Amino acid sequence: MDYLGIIEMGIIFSLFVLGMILSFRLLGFADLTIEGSFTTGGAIFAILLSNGINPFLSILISIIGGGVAGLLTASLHCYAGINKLLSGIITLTMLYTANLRIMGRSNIYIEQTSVLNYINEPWYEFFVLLIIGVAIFILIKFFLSTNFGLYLRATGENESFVKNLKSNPKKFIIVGLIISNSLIALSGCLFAQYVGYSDIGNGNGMLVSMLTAMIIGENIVRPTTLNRQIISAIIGAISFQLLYSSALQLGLKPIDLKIMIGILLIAFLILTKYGYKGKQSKNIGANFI
Amino acid sequence: MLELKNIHISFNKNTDNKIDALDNVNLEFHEHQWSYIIGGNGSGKSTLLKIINKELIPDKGELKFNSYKPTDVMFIDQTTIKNLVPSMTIYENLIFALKNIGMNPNFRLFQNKNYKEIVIDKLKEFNIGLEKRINEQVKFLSGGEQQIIVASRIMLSNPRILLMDEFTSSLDQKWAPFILEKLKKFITVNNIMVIAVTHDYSQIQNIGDRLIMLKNGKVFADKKKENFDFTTQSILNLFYEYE
Amino acid sequence: MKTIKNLSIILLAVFLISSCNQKSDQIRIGVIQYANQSILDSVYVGIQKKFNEYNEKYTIKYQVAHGDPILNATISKQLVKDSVNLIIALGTPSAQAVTNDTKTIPIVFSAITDPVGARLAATMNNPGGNKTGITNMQPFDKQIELIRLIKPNVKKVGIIINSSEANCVAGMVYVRKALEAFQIPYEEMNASSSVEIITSAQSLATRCDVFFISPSNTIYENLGALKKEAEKKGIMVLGGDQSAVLKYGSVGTYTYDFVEMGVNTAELAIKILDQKLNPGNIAVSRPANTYLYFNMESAKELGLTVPDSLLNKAVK
Repeated sequence: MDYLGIIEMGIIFSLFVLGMILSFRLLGFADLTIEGSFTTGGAIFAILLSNGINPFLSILISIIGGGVAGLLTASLHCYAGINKLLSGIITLTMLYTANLRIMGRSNIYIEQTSVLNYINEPWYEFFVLLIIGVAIFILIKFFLSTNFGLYLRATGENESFVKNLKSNPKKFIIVGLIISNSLIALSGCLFAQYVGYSDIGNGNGMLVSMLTAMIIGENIVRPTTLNRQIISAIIGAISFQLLYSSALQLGLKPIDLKIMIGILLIAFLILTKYGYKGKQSKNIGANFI
Repeated sequence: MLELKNIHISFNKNTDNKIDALDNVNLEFHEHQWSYIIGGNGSGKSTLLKIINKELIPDKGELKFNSYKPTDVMFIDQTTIKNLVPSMTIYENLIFALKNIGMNPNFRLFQNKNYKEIVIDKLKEFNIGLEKRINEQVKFLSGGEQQIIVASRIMLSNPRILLMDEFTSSLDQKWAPFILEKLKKFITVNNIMVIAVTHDYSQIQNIGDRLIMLKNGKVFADKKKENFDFTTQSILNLFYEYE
Repeated sequence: MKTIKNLSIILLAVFLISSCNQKSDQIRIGVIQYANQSILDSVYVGIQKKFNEYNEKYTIKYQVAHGDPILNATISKQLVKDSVNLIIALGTPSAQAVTNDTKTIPIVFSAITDPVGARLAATMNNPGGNKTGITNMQPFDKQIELIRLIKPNVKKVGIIINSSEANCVAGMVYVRKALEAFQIPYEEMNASSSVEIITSAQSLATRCDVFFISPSNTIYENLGALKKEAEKKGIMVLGGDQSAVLKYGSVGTYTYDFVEMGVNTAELAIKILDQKLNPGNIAVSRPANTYLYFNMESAKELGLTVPDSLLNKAVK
């Protein structure tokens, strides 16, 4: 089995799961934009790189692109009063066109001069991903430990509480969704570089896959504190990749992989509920999933 | 001093069900005064609180309070858990209070010792060992313990105006007198204005300085402790006059 | 504690699983297909057919990624890690993934409409690197010529395209060139779902007298609906692949036999392995044979006559 590949993809997707945790768990917002922002990250990067823009700058702009998507969804909910699910779906739909327009076609090949490939050694790629992963996780932990982060978590659990504190919950929802979608766009950007192409279908099936990863992570490391919740992102993403690879190694046909994922998801969800034995969950964050 | 002048608000304005929730209400509230608001269902009690909390805007009339900042008013909901963030720890819940008084317990990554001490000291006053459990999630505390946390939050926030919507009447039987005594002491020392809605008349005698009764959105009675007997019986008598 | 227990169970499982290793003296070929589509499926049928002739000399591992990008990446990496002798890739993202993951294992891609645009080949004549393959860019010039031959007084051709499909976009360049070469006016409409195809067809039906089938998978999946709309207004449908003509009432087309393309793909792979060739030097090829198909019923319904000279060339 390709352990290096598993860890590398685990790091890439741990950013995605972290973004999901921010919106789904901490903000209590089931943000369906994420499949679109993932693709957007790759799309923006690919088109900029193919036009000769510096790869680091391209990554930065990809992140901002994800942020814009998050801003749109949040605005639809906060200012247009559209419900959370629908806001995400609307943005997701619009992103499909946006991504196609950004790329100008449905598929762009990514040159060897992207960030991950500057030096053509395997250890270089791993090293870069590790640094990016660690840096992002530290940044997010830092952000969530501030007062703003505290209020953000409170908004996800008890909006009226935040209102009673004379703070505007909208502020936190907007910033929260911008950051979570930026994280996911970064994940998409790194993924596109990793596989060497950005395709309009890159986001397909990501929602369910990453949800599975998140839930697996939360079953291994019960998120009873903020630190544990953040760690569950990494553990979940890497475990998920392990599962995929192991299944294929064992000879499972890809056609059966999807049903295996489904069964796994059901099993872990039931495990989660049984873990409570009727008591309240010790997990922090929203538990509608 | 908080002044309500000619406050009028109605709901369902364009329908046949138009209700005048508050009709020409004129009231003055002073610091160091614990006012109780009572009245039948739909008499406008909660509406009055929401207007002072600036959750609702009156159709007519104005609210006057010298140098009023939004964070000067603290609103306590009837349901205890709504005044807390359930899956956060005791310490995290109380940080909100500290922030309110201008402290900046930021960068909790480094667990600022000073703020933790302030929180622990306040919890110690209640003498039931909660200070040892500050990293427990609030949702696992008993009802009474949660109410103590809310009371701690009130005291750490030190608001100028405290609004309580049936909080005092929903207190755990075991803890009610204890918590109320502490709150009353705190209010007195810090010159806080309290406006509380209640249906538990037994408390009013010990704690209330003033009693306001609303009927159909109008002020029906406004009695001060000095001039009126706050026993449950006399309050009930008021209600008979009411009919 | 529970966390450590959970983690150790997983690590143990992984260790056990990874010790399952398949070692074989046979020549191992990994086939990776991006998703189940009729063309790709047909190609694989041909590939299988060809390898079956060799009686156990080659071991084929066939995996479909079902449009899941993570699965696609995982399968690709696994094939490289397993050091297969050759990789056959069907579908652009799969071809791109394997091209990115290995510069040494020979790669044969198939049924890619625009290899140069997808950077799978530097040029058609000299793809470079460790890859080559067969393109399925349809003989659009011949298909468009058919329009002129069967319906000389054509007024306007309506084409429904899906600009989110790379193959469609790439193919349409040739379609437009051919239409302009034969001086036939045309109008395009974009559709990416069944519903949009129907509404586009209804709109185009008011202005066109011919529908041309564009190289879009979505269109291929909705040919029945397209024919229905065309029938309402007596519009001729032309183009597409074999089943478009035989099953869905397209009057005629020039196409490849995709099973045959699969056989050609396998032959190419075998040649590379046997003769230890460098794929990068082998030009990307088009299938040698194009096949002419007619649907006489459809032609009759529209009152069209197919010249005998053409009929003689067609597949019966």
